[in-house]
Amino acid sequence: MTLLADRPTAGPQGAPSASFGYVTPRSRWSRFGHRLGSEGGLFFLFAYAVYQAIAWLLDWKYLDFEGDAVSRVANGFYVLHSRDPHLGAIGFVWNPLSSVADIPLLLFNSFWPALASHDVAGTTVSALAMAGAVYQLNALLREWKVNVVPRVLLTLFFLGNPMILLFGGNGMSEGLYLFAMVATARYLLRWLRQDDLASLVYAASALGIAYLERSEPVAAALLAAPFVCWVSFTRSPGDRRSRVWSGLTDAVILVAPIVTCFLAWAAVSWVIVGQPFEQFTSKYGNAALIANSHIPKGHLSTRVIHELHGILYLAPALPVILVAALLVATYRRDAQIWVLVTVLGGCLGFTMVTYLLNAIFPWYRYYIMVVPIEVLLVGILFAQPVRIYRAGAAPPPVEPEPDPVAEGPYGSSRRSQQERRRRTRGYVGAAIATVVTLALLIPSIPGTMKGMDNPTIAPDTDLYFGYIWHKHPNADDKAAKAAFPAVESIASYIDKQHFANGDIVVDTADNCIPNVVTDVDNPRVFVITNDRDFQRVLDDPLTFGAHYLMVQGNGSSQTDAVGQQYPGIDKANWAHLAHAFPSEGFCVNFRLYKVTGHPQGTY
Amino acid sequence: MSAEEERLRLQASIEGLAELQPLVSARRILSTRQRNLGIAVLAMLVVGCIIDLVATVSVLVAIVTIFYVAAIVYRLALFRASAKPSTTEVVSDEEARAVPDDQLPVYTVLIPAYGEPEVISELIQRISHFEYPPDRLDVKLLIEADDEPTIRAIYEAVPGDQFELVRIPPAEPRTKPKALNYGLGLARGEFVAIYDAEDEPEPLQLRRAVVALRRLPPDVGCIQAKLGYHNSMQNIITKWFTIEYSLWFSFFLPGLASMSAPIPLGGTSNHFRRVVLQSLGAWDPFNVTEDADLGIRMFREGYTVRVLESVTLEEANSDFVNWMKQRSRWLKGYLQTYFVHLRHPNELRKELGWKGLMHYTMFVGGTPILAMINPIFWLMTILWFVAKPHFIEEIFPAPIYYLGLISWTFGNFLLVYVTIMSCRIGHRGRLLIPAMLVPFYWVMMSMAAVKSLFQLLRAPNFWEKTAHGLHHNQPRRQDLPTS
Repeated sequence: MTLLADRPTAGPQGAPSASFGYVTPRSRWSRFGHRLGSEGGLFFLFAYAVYQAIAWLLDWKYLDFEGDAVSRVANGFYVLHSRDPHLGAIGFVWNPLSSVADIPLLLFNSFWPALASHDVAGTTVSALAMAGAVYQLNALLREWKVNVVPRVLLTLFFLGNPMILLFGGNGMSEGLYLFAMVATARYLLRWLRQDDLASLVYAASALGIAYLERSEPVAAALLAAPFVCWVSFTRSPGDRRSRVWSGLTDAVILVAPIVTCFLAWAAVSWVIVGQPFEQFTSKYGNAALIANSHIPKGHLSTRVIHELHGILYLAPALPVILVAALLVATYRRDAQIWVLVTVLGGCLGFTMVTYLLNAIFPWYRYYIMVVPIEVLLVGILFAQPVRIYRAGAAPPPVEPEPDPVAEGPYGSSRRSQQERRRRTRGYVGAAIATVVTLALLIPSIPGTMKGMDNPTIAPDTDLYFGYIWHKHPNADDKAAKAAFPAVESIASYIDKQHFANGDIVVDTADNCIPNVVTDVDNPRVFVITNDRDFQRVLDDPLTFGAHYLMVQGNGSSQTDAVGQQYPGIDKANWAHLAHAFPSEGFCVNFRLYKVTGHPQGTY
Repeated sequence: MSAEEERLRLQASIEGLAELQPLVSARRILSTRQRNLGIAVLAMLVVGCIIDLVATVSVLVAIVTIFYVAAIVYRLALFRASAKPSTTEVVSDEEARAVPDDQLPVYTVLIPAYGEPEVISELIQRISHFEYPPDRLDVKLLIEADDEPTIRAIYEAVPGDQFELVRIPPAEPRTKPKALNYGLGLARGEFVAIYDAEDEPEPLQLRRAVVALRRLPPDVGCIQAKLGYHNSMQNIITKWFTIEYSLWFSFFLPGLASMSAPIPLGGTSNHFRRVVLQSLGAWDPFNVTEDADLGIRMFREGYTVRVLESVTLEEANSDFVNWMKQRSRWLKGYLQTYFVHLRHPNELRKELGWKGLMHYTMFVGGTPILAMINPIFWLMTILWFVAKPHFIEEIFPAPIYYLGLISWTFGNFLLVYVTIMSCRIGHRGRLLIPAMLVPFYWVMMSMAAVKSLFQLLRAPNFWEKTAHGLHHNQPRRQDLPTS
């Protein structure tokens, strides 16, 4: 196995490229320009422009922010601009990468507050990431040597899928997640083809980064590791023992980064907040939230049908695509299908299983992995297959050297005839590929749109974004439309009161408060859950300089630590209601209490 | 040789370099200037601690943390640089054998040995089987005149005419480089090769070296063959040693070579042009890693070192105590070399260049120094995880804390990961478990580093002899490099 990746490089710096008979020095800038003007580069720029445009629309025209997106950018915001800026404020319940990726942009928040309040930082990052995913998908198809016409179509079907369009522009974690996972698949496929260590290491790194973004990659790692082990075992030379070790080593190389990320994240979390697995144990984590939510649980069979229903909306031709891909791969003994199955299918499988186990919310966005899966399963029909042979058992390459003596005087014309026939076969093949691609993937566009619009299938997209395209807005749409104005009205009230730093104690876990914190002029008026002294201040606000408590609802909400600590605050003698915010948008029943005494006894 | 001639030759081999280039002789560890500078720095530290202990320690911690991060980045850069097309000299078997015997030069082979009666006869056998005309071989067995057992073993082995037994008059310092200098004074060959008594060079190595050195430009002063172990699978220590060597020869050495950095030589299987060696003043008898020192001196004079695609098998140290002795000698030598060449930093910078100086500090100086500091920081990290004592919070201001945290998690992971990758490239998948356990090897190295520091202060020129022949009681299990 070699270290060098078989990538076309520009050659050593300054080496002349002998094209057209004159010598042009290849400077670093000209190489960069060359790459930008290449197919991948153009797709990246185009995709970024599209997603950034959607981001502008969402951030400024429709003022439409999904709650989780706001939380992500807010977490990054807290690290820099909260009352207690520290890296631990990033929060340990959710994977940190989205928030960390926003931090470089948020450094400029003082010059342009919209970076946080209008989620510009988050949406820019997700636009870049999703454009990166488009680039990786395109690169993958190029490395498969899919003909240019179906390849461009396939990339466009991915780029233009409504789910991808939406999540490229809305600042959610899907952008980075898809980028990392498609990159993992691409590099693993390259490793399969070239058997070079560098590709395996890139795939492993992408997998590790993906874990920092989402938890699904754990399943991909668990499935891909045995596959990599088997491939290496089969391909390696030597006796049985050393082949086993080669296989094990390659599997370890693949999973070492993600295992390290897993352990390191748990260790850092343990050091900073005292708990290694906050995503499971915290009361803000999925497990607790779902247990306390009012989502009907239903029978297993209902949930299975619900899932399949949702997937079929995303990819109506998926059964056909799946069967076709499996048949073609089996016929050609193409091992590449296993990369798609383990890496991308593993992530989707994780989602499907956790939903059936009632461990995740029924958000439609979790099934976004279906989009690259369907596109790539169509693409693999036209890809160059890769077979795994025992070391030394691979057949020699098929192209025989043209032998001028044996060919005779008409050899060259016969060769050009062969060339022409090959080219025609290529055109016919490309035409078939184009037709098949269109037939299988065109239905996915309207299907996805219908799915996103369906409140049972897609409660999240329908809720947050439905009002943009609904002709007759319903109650949910009105709430979503009023969400940002509600945040702004709370924020402007707080601004007008000119509170001092650390005056208001509030829990930032729900959908409304993070946006308020990023929208006010002085975010330091708030004592938030990420502050290291939050519990201490909450226990006795007045002693520690806080004069107000912000309570949500009636104190039983899982996401309101303040309300939960003081359920009887309405009747308390140490606090009275200062202001009740009108319930609009997603800011429901927020009330500001002024603290005049000490909660524990009188002193 | 008359007694007078012997005495002069001995004196030349001990004092030669010290007279030719006193500034780079390790006779004294620190020059006067360096010693005064060291005392001044120490005094400043003491004063700083008295004035404000926390701030002083914080500054030290910050400097060390940044150095750590730099060291990790540096090793990764070497790793990446090593992926460029190979800088090893490849001489195929046909090319090596194509040179007719009468066109081969006289080749001097210097073999210093001290107390090696068990292995010397095997060595004589192996050299007799070299594919090189014996009448053009000039093998010098360099033995201390009072080493009776070895001399007797040589006579019993009945060596051929190409062998010459050179008795070195007993004198301090009793080191390998002094013996080499003595032997070099008697050398007849155009090229000079160094082997240890227990080495197993591959039979065509000398021919390959001739072909390579003849076709390389004259500024290539030395060509180094690759080293391997014949007992690599013996126990965990030999496995770690094998991993270390494979990292060195597969990555760090090619990386250094491709970055045109000064290269510390390995102590055996070096093939020199004799004129270059003599012009440099040969080896420094007071330096315990004379090979590293020679490599730096070569670079300073403008010569380069290349790697020859040919393997010499050695015995990996399989005993913990023995390993400790050897490793502490190496680390002591690196420190010696580092301080010796740093005596006139301006000249060093002119001769090495800023990049070379950086390489020099990170590799020659960094290896022992970081190995010594490691235990302190590991201890602090464990304390932090377990007890979170307040003083650690004080001496690690936030940016240094995060830098340290990143270098501890990310940096250490990368080093272990690179080690696992190197096993894979050398088709040494069987070394996977030792590779994953390599942090414990780092602990051993830190212990050796601390020992080396003590030795440096108490007995700087003391050469702790490594015992060889420990493999004789073991069945031969090897894991040869296949790439």
